[in-house]
Amino acid sequence: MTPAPKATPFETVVPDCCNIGMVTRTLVAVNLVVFLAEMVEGRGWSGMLGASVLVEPVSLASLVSLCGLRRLSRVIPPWGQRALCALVPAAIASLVIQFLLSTPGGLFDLSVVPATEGMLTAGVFGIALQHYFELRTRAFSPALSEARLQALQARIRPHFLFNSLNAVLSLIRTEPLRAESTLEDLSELFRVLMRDARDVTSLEEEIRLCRQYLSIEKVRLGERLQVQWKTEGISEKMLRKARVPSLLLQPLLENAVHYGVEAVSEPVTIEIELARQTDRILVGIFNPIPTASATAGTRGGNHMALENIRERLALLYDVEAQLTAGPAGDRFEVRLYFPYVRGD
Amino acid sequence: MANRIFIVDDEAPARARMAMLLADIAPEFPNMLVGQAENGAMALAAIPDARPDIVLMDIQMPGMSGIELAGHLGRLEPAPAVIFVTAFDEFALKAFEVHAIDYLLKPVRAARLSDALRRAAALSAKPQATAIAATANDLGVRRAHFAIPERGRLTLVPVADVVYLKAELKYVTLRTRTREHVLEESLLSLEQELGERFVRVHRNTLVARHAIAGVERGVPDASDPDKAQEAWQVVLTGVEERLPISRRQWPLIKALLNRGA
Repeated sequence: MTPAPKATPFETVVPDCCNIGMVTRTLVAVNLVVFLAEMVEGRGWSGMLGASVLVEPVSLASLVSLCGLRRLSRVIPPWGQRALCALVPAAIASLVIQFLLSTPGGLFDLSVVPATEGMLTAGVFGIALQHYFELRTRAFSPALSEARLQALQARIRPHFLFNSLNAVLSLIRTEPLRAESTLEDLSELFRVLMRDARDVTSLEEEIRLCRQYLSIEKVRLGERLQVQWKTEGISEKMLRKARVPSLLLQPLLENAVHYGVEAVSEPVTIEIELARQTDRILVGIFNPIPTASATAGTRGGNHMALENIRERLALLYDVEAQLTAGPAGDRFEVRLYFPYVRGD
Repeated sequence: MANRIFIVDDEAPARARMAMLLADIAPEFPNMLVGQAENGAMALAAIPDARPDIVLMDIQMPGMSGIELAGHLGRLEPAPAVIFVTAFDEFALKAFEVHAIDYLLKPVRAARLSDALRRAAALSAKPQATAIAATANDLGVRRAHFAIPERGRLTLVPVADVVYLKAELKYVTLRTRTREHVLEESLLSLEQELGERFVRVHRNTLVARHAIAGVERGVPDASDPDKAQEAWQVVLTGVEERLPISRRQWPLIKALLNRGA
């Protein structure tokens, strides 16, 4: 039930400083700011020229260093990477200032940029540009994560789809009416699955979908699948009004069926609890943890569905929603809460 | 002569559908359904009596996978031919292709079923057993049970119940808390497959890691200089007997115990 903790590499937040576009954008931005500063200070072009002796080498050296350091980003946590983006330019600025000071000929006039101020400025530039590029990457990435999500779903579906179709085929001659209703359930489920993952639905609709899903599984698994619904303090009207992201609960039930029921020969009860706590809706999904010997014939699980839903909840509700999952005693518990958002 | 067919699938509708298809193809491929089972243990109990020529077997089943079950059936005399049936299992299917093992995809079509049955009827069981063992190895399937042929049937012993495996002259003795069984397998291949759960304490002995309670110094046997060297012994949970640790394995066992402590 519990996947082995994997050492996943960290997300890279250091901008790609080897990229020409990146380098150009950075140099233009830095020079523009310096130019404006010199203009405001009233030193004009001569001030700009003096500053560029410091600004250009620091900028270029920082870019080159970060370009190299980026390769290590997978082993450094994101906050460390962000710090590096400030520290590297600051350190380089300090070195360059030291070097220029020690060079005879008075190329560098300390009255223009004092050493500490130079370091500080370089650091601020570093972190500001890092932040800008990180936000930019994020703005473009949803398409990517959407594609990843779809790919994940495609990997979980086939087993369920083909087994369900097989079960329907077995019903056609003996129980044609049941075959019909199962195919109806199946098509409605797939219609929702093929919809945009960002769709919002009512809690009532989501529960109906869950019941349809479970009735398909019931055809397949028969007495092995038992379901118990418990609702507390939620009226029919509330269920109709409450807005939830579509496919919030069905994947959790699918997980419970796959790991809790399919893996066991004996009848297993999945419990589903719905409750309201002032302005929150609480959902609990529980299934007994199969013993190790019972699961010997089935493949170990992944908890993609959980991660998936956690991510969607975070996107929609930020800290107002939460999903926790894990073994508690002899059963596996998934609990989530999210704000009661009323629709029309 | 009608071929005897046995169906193993944990889903009742899937078994019903397969039985229906077998009836449908009976005119072109005479067959007789001699039994059905919903899991590996039930299949192993029923198959020796049902004596099927061909077993149609689901892969993903609770308790024992189809791959493991097929491996056990290969030890029967005569062993039935096996055709795997699965809804979707990318990894298994790839391994089947590699080892030329026949499989059917659910939902199964009548025409494909009769083709596969015809091929299976013409197949000899021995090469198939080898191919299945190789497939299990490719897929990293570790058996969860020993299926031991005893008086014409297969006795099922969960690997978790085994305390130790000891090589005798031509066979391996398997000891549980309550019984002893005889296996016709080599200790080396057992160690290769089950090395995660067993540890070698002596040239001829594998002990279940969970069954090691501790070690103690044995009484040196003065009459036998070899045994005098092997002063340390494994103390087991659930079995009175002590097992000698060879000098060569001693550092490993000591490290194992220290890690556990």
